Amino acid sequence: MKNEHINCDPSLLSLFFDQELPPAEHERVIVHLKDCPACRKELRDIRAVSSMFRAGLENNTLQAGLLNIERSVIDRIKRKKEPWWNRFSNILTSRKFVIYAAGAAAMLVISVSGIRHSAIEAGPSAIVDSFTGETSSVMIMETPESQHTIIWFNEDS
Amino acid sequence: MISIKIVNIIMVISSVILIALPAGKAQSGQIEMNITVKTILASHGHKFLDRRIATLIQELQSVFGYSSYRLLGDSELKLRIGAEGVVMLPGKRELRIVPTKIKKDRVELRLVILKGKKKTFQTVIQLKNNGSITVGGPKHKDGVLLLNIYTAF
Repeated sequence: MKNEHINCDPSLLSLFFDQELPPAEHERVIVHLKDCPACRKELRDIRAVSSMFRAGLENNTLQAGLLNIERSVIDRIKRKKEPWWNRFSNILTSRKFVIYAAGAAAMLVISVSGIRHSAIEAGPSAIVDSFTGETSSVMIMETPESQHTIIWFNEDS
Repeated sequence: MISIKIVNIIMVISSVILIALPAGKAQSGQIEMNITVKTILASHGHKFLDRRIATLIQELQSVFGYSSYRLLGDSELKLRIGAEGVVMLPGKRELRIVPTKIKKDRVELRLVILKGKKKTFQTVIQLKNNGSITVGGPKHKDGVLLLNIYTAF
């Protein structure tokens, strides 16, 4: 292959550095660099800048990862250090718990009043279990409408 | 300064206690009941319907044929189970009341009527909450005494 001389071209050097030149061009640049100190310096500069970028990028990535780890460790420590009554009070005062507690309380009130209501008996106002005394006669009556109970006794004189 | 968190906790706990308290009170048997005793003189004399007992008169007139109903006395007792209450009645009589137990919506009452030191009548009844019974018959002046006993617990 005939070695053709090429002129100094910074864009070519960039492509050369990134290994994006076709093989023939790549060889021509190598030959040129042997005789061109300026291009050799330019290539060195390209290499240095590229290294700096790579180092910075890696550093940032590493730092981001470390930050996440640090955050989760600190959260864990905080949770462990928190006294149980603090955690308990956090649960009690959370909105969800308050809503559930209010609902449960309402249901309890409704069911208790319902049970009480159903426990109220129909029937006469009083049921007479027994009676004794010095009486000549005893009558037990009930008013027709309201079932009001009346006990009537005649006192012996 | 009390934090909002503590206030919320106190409110939740207080609500639970307030709901549970009436149920607990009823269960324990330490409930205090109000007992009202109205002493009425019923007679066939001059027509008189005491306005203070208008509702009761309507009930009684469906059974009795008296033309006059007069309220002689109105006593209020607050009794716990097992405690005795005494109401003085006209004609040297007295009424003794003892609540013995509560069963569902009724209270068991032991009633004793004495004339002097002599027991003239006693009965055990199951009286409905917010209900009343009328015990009548003892003669007084030109009529008879009616005792209306009401309870609320």
